[in-house]
Amino acid sequence: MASNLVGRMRDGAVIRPKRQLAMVFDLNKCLGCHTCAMACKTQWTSGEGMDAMWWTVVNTQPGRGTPRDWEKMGGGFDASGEARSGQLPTREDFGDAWEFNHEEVFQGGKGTSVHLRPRTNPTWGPNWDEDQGGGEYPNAYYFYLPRLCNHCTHPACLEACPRSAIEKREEDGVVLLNEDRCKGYRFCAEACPYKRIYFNATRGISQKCIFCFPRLEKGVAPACARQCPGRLRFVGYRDDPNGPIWKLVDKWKVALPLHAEFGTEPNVFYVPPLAPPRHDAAGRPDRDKPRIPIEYLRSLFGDGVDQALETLRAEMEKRRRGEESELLRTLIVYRWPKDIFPDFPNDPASVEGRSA
Amino acid sequence: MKGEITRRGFLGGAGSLLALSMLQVRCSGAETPAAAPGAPVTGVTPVYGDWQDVYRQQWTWDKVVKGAHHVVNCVSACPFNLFVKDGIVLREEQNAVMEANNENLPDFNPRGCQKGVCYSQLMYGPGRLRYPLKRVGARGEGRWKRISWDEAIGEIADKIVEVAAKDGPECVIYDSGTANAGYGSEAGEMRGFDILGATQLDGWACAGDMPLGVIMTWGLFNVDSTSDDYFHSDLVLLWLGNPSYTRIPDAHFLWEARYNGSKIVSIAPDYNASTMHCDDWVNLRVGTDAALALGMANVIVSEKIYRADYVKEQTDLPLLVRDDDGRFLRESDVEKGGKDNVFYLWNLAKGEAVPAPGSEGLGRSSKLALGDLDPALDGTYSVELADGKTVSVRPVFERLRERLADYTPERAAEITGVPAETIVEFAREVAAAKTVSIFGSWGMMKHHHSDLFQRGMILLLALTGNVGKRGTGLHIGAWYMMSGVETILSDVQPAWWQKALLKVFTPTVREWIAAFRDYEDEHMYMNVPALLFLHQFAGLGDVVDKPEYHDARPGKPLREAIAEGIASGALPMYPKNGKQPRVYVHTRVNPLRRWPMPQLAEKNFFPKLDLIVGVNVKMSSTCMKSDIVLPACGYYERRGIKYAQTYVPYYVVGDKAVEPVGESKSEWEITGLLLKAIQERARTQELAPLKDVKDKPRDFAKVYDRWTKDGQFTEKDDLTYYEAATRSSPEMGSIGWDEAVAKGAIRIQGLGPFRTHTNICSDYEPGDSVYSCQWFVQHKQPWPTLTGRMQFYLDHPWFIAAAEELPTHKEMPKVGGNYPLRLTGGHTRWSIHSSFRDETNLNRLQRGEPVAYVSIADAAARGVKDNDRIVIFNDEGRCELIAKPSPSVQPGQVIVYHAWENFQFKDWKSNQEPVPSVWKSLHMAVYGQLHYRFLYAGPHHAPRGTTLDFRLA
Repeated sequence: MASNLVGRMRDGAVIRPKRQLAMVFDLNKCLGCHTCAMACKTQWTSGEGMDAMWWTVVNTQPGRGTPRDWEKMGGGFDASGEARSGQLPTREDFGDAWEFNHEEVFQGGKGTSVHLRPRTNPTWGPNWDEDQGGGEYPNAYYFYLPRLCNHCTHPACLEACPRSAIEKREEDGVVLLNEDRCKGYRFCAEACPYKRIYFNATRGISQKCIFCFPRLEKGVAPACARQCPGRLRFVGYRDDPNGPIWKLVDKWKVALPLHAEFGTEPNVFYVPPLAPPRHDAAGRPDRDKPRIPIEYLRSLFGDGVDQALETLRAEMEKRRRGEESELLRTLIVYRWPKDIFPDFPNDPASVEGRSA
Repeated sequence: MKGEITRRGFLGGAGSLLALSMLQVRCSGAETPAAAPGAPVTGVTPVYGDWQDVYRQQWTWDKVVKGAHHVVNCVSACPFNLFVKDGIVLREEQNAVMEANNENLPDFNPRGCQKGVCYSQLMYGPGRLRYPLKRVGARGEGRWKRISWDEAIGEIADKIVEVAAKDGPECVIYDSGTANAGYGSEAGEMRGFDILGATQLDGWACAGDMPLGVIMTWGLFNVDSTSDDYFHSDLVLLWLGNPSYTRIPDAHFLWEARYNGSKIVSIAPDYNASTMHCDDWVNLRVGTDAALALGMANVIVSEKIYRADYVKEQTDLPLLVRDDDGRFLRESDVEKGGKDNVFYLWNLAKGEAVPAPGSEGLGRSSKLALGDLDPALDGTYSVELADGKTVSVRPVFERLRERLADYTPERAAEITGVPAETIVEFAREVAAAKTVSIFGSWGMMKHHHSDLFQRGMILLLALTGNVGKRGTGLHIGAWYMMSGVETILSDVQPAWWQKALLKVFTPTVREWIAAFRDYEDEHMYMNVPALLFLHQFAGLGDVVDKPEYHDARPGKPLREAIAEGIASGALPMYPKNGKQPRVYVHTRVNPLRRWPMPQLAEKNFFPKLDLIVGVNVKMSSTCMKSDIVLPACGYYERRGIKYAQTYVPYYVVGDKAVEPVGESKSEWEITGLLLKAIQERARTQELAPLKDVKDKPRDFAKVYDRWTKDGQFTEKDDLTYYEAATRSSPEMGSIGWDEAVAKGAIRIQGLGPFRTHTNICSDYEPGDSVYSCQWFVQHKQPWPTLTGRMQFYLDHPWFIAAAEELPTHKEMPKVGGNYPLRLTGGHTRWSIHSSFRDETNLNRLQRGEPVAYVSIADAAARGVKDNDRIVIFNDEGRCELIAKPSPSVQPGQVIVYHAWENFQFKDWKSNQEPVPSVWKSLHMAVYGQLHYRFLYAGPHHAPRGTTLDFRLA
């Protein structure tokens, strides 16, 4: 049984951890390459029953996402703090782990009558609508949105679990799903408004991002962050005024939560996307009209997105005039890893690899 | 000869460096024996914890080994840490130790991508080759028998000896394409087939990466910088490149440079993963890039916002051209017995024509600096010729101005679809920016008229003085060489006096290139451009020769140009005299995936062959159609040195982390075993020395001894090679192999010797970014062109006949037939060529099958919805894919990112089947800097812009 009440609503207030770890993703640097997803996959989710799991994944926005139409699946809390009903995503909604027929093609003796393909006819996958986006040519638009468990301050999953199998750690706010206690009821997956909890049908338990806690214990940043070649996944304590998280979220206010209206106080924040200007009917850039409709960005990141983008643009103008910008220095990351995850700078190769 | 400085004297053994190849480690050794049953179990007393300990346990390992993905033609060198447990590579993670060039530039960590971080999955995956296989069904049927290495090598050696003795060694065809690309011991393989006198297919001439316009203008093969050089650019143009897809480890420098104040503009028909991060998007019509460049050049010239001083010194624009025949005025015109490679400019200071500094005929002391000369860019002048007649002459700039008059902003707007106002503003912006660079990459090579794109792009840079200083220039790709590698690989070693001479005497770029040409003529004459080979032996000629697939003014019909080139020897072509290819050995490459219209090769080339041998790490489409397939070691199973692209100031090396998977062996060992078997057979059969195509003896009874350098380098030992390679490479610090693999990434201490691939052409200046072409622009060394300048005027008769003597725009020919849509594409983000195309997890992050991105309008007009199966087709071929309609795609454009395996398509008909890849006869002209050379210029793969249509399957 979870030994603390962190993350639970008590007497109208959420009990907060001593400190909270958070991430900031700069969408203006994301390449959509999924190195984060693959790093996580090879690190944690190659075990039995985990084939279809992508604890972190990158969605093309606008798009239906992972799982399909997750934004419409409910969960979380309403404005009064009441739990909203949520839908349980199916394995197919997430995009199943399609099996391929390598052996049949390579050794089956069937020649060109068979070709390599999924054994099923999939209609969805974790990155199904990659690079399709919205708008109308030439005013098409899309951007990448890396997603994972938000390690919420008020996790709907935690509140929903009848087994108290989900714990929010007092020391860093990381939300962990206790796989020993879990009975696979999946109330957590219904309740999570971000739909970042998977079900392991083989083991009969739910599983999700563990914020790479074994790595944190050794001072090593999570795999998705440390392995991100775009250098856009900042990790650190929310309350550290010298760290990048506080600077981007609280000081410069350019990093915003995703769907804050879901009521769980997520601890993953996004620097919203800029884009080249729209083209007018004559094909000329119309610098007054943003390519990505601002209403769409507000629907994801809230009303703060206008100011966040304005701040970004203003600082970029300043920099073009040759002036210094603390904000842009922070986003550039001159010195990796200390500028991007200052509390977890260790190189895993320097860690003792053998178990105790 | 003694004491005489020959051109080859500068070279020593440099030429075989061209044989960029890869060496593999000896891969053998026994597994640690398991404990005997009943033996007492020893070890640490376990602590039985909770579920969290399961995860902690999962993140444990026995050892960490430095790794690199060195046997793959990926341009990004990324150092990795390999986490090994129980003799298995569990996973890999970037070895992020690359320091910044200085305090104002970001560092290079953590280089890698989603492919690199999952190679350990592919390595043990279902496609991995583990044992030698022999076909037992029909070719391509997929019925195999496992055979021993002895059987496999013996059978191949028997056939090679038989064919070489009967038909000649050139009837053995060796193809390592562009995958043969590391600095490791894999070089031994190319050298092995070279010793045999086999025909070697020059895969560069079939990869679509050949920068012909760059070669025409600069005489350089490729150029590039370190990726942090974008921080010095005020304006970066992403032109035909999509770095978010193709330069995953480097792209951050672009987006960070933007935060640092650089402006970044995407020039592309489609809104792509890089466009989204740009400040502006110029969405020109497919294939009109040259017109855009020329429209901008028109503005820059007519508004006189070009850098006249720079243009006069660095370009051929002041050179005089005769009005009567359109040829440069040459010394041979004005003096009896004068040279035909000395050119003139009109010196306004004295009112006379004077030899132009840099001219090839002026020799090594000529520098580009103008001194007292004041070259005219305008006007018509009269010059007396040697025969007493006078002729009127004008500077190239006058002719350029006339040419640019065809490209007013309004006219360029009609062609490109980009508004005239945008072209004007954009041109002014390029002229006003302090530093401009173009990220072109290899995307700018793959159109029929890519040479014209490049000439236009370089014209813009030249007019605005944006070549040869930090933050400027063209970004394609270049390499740091390793002197130690070439020392070992070459059969010709420099004499002591040559080495001594090189310490006090620095050859010019032109002299180096001349030395290479000599070396290649002497030692590397067995290279045949792959496309030309297919033209001759696969029936590709019947398609690409069609006049309707060429411009109305081709300069010379393709078939005639080819016949002329072969007859003159300018284009090497073997086997000849009616002989046919009989053995085909492809190593690590996947030609049926890459070749244009592979169905032709399958129909016409493969049936000629008695034996097809594939050497590969995993089963490929070409291995599936082969007779014997040999399993090669993967990256983590042997030592290796990744070829060193200039993006990072580091060499990247990898150690052997685990034993080879299955019975796989390194290419080094395979080559040694094969040559040994051939030598044994030749001795048993008392085979007399054979004659190669140049009647030089090839003594098969000595091939193995020659390959090992009489036992110095045996197939069982590659450490000797690696130790020597690193120790004798001062640019790597002359460290030993152990020290190199302890680091994995070794900081450069020099740029390596000048070679055709290392066209950095700048001094090594530690403490800042590396950038290209400094020697010409700052040190005033002539460019390696005929005129010694950036050359925009090519007075070869074919170019004049084609009206391409100056940069111009031409509409794409309708290659494929009269269809409304144009095929584009690019390197995929999901694979390195076909190497990762069938990896399961990567496929799960796509649609699991080949896809085509099509526009909303074109899909709607054909009743196609998302995920529908469509057939793309034209007169030459067809294939089936899944449709992904997207508003990001320009109507009229069909995007298929490349390198799907043929076996991923229905009936194995790939997206190359409708792609004839017609190249221009001009690319086979022989003119100064332009000529066929191994891994340089020649017939060129041009898949983009193929006409086609699609319909529901």
